Amino acid sequence: MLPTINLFGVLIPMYGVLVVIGIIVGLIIIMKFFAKHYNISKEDILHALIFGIIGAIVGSKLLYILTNVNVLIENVGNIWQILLSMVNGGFVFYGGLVGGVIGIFIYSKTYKVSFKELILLIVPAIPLMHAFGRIGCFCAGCCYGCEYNGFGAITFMNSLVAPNGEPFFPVQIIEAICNLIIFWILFMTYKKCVGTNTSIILYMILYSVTRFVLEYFRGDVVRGRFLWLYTSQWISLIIIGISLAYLFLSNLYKKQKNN
Amino acid sequence: MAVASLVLGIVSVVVNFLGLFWVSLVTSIIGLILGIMARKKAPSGMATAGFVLSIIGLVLSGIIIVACVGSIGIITNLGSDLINNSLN
Repeated sequence: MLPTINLFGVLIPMYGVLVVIGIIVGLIIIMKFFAKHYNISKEDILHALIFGIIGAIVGSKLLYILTNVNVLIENVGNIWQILLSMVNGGFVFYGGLVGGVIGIFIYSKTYKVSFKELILLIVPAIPLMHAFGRIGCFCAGCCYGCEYNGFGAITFMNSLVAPNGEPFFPVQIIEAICNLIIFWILFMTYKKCVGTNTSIILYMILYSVTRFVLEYFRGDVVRGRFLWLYTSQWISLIIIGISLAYLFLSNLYKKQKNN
Repeated sequence: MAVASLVLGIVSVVVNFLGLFWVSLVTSIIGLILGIMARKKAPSGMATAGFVLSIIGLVLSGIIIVACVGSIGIITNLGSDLINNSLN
């Protein structure tokens, strides 16, 4: 739709601009609404978020390379050339999520800040930041939907990635709206969830289910696939399983404690 | 650490204008980590300057480099080319 913008004669990719705007908006929301519920300084929150961003960059890049490891195996002769093109290539959200958590964990352990409280602070803002990223996908034309002729179909005319002139399902916009709804749910329930893991479990289940379903509406062919599901669907299933197991075990523990 | 952070912060901002976005990303990440370590150990103006410059470097290079999995480097490479062409 709008892959680049012209800023003082310099063309800037919209995807990166929207990701940066998303992070800044997320940070403002965290500082203004969530930080007051926990005893962590704003400086520590900023530092931890930066460690999280660094972890997210490394993690999303590593998962991207891992999902395309078959390409590396098939082209062992040109391994360095392929690896270099992968370094210049894309990022995977789930890898970023895991890398970000590891980054925040490293910060919390190094500077003796509560890891649980940091995660509880940052998690509700993740779907908001992610929504901006998905709008960035829409602008760039990447992560496009399957071929579709019904209501709301999107036809890219000057995309750098999606085939131009063909109607597609607006999966990026749908995922952005879903992320905004998830953010709204987490925002509205935040006060009741302070100090508990409810926000994290709620986010993990809601996003994983959304992602699992929306993967069927995507048309881009470059995603990693194992057996009959895409990589992100496998990861979604694992996360849903872990979340449900946590809910079951915590309920069991509460019942035993009450008895 | 504060001096190293400041130097890396300056490098990370400057190399963006030379089109070396990956160099900027790496130097800004190292500059940020050193800046945070310096600020936690002994807060100083130099450490804060290094920290802020590294953030600016990370934002500038991030805008160009960050691309989604679907783009397979097309946006990144094209974005870099477009900017290099624009600067030239």
